[in-house]
Amino acid sequence: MLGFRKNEHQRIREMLSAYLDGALTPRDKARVERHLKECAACAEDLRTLRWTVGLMKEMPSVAVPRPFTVRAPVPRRRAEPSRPGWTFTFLRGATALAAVLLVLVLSGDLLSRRTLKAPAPALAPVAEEKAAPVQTFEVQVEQAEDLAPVEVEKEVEKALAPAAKAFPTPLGAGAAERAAIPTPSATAEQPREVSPTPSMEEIPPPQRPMIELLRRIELALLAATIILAMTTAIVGRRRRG
Amino acid sequence: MDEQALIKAARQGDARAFNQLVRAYQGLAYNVAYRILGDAEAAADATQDAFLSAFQAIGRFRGGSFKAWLLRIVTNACYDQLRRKQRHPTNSLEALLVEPEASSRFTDEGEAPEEYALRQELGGVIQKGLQTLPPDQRTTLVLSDIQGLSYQEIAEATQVSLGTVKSRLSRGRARLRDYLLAQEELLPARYRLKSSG
Repeated sequence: MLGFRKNEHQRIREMLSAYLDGALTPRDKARVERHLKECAACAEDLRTLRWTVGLMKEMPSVAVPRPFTVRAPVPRRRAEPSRPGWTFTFLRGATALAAVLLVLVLSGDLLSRRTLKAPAPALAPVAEEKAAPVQTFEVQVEQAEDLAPVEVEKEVEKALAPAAKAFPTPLGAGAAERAAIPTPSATAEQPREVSPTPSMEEIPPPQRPMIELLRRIELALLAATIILAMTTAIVGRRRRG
Repeated sequence: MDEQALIKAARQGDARAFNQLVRAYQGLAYNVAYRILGDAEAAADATQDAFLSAFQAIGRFRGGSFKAWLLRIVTNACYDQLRRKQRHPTNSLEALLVEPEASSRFTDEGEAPEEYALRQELGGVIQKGLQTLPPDQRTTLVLSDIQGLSYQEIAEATQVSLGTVKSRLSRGRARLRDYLLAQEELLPARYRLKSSG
């Protein structure tokens, strides 16, 4: 120990760790071994260091508390928002389409009524129209009965039977009118008596069933728009939540 | 499938293949994290974070030692946990107060109960000693003396030169030795220096 400088002890001690691992060059290894033979303090250093490393190797290993496998995040993240996103987009589009159709049909309906009912008073056209077909029909039937009881009744019955089967009231009534009025046989058999009736001539026959059909379409479109809008709202909220 | 085939499949986004790698390495990763952090919960968090990061980054893995590459991610995740602890010092105080060994299960349960208990006791003392080291020295010691990695692997895992690995190891061992010598009476008798020397 006396033969070495302080620096040399320090250098040797720095090499002891690598010496333990067998990681020194042959030259350094020889140098360390030469020093250790003559220096008890550095030899003790090596002994305690070896003891420390030996103890660490004795440490127990710890069991994993749970598996650390990963869930495939890439495809899941893509799939999850795309599904409600697609539905949401579709529903929103369908709602918009239904709403646009409803507006178109309604405006078309109103416009056509105005042009048709040009001579009629501008106020309360809807109420008037609703009442109109019923009234005219009653008038027709009464008049037909009065003028040509047998034939007209038969004609009306013929026309009503298939129409009533297909469309129960009020469409049936409309269909009956359509069938009753322009039938050539009815007008031919009662030439003078039937033709002077003014009410039949005034109302264009195909308009009334068209109005009924329109009303149905409007109601259906309104219902569809409301249902679609509600569904879209629910899907949209679920998507956000 | 061998490791290279699993890595190749995982690089293409195959989570199943990657999870086979997870199963092969999770014991190592968790033990490294546990010894660096000294806390079971933080170690589990770091391990989970590390595997998630590894799965995201595996496309950038350019060959070499997969183990070293993975352990680099694990040690980085541990440093993140340590920084989090520093930001919340109460947590680290709690971690120190809790006897870390007592809360964990150990894998070597096949050995005799007495042997098992002694090693657990030893593990507790060394773990406290490790906590006194600077993190870079502690990590190097854990990788080398507990997990048995080569200098080269440690250099890759900690992204430093071989020379730095050697010096960290030398200083860390010396420092832990000083701690253990000072706490020798806490060790089970059979592990004390006099009986071993």
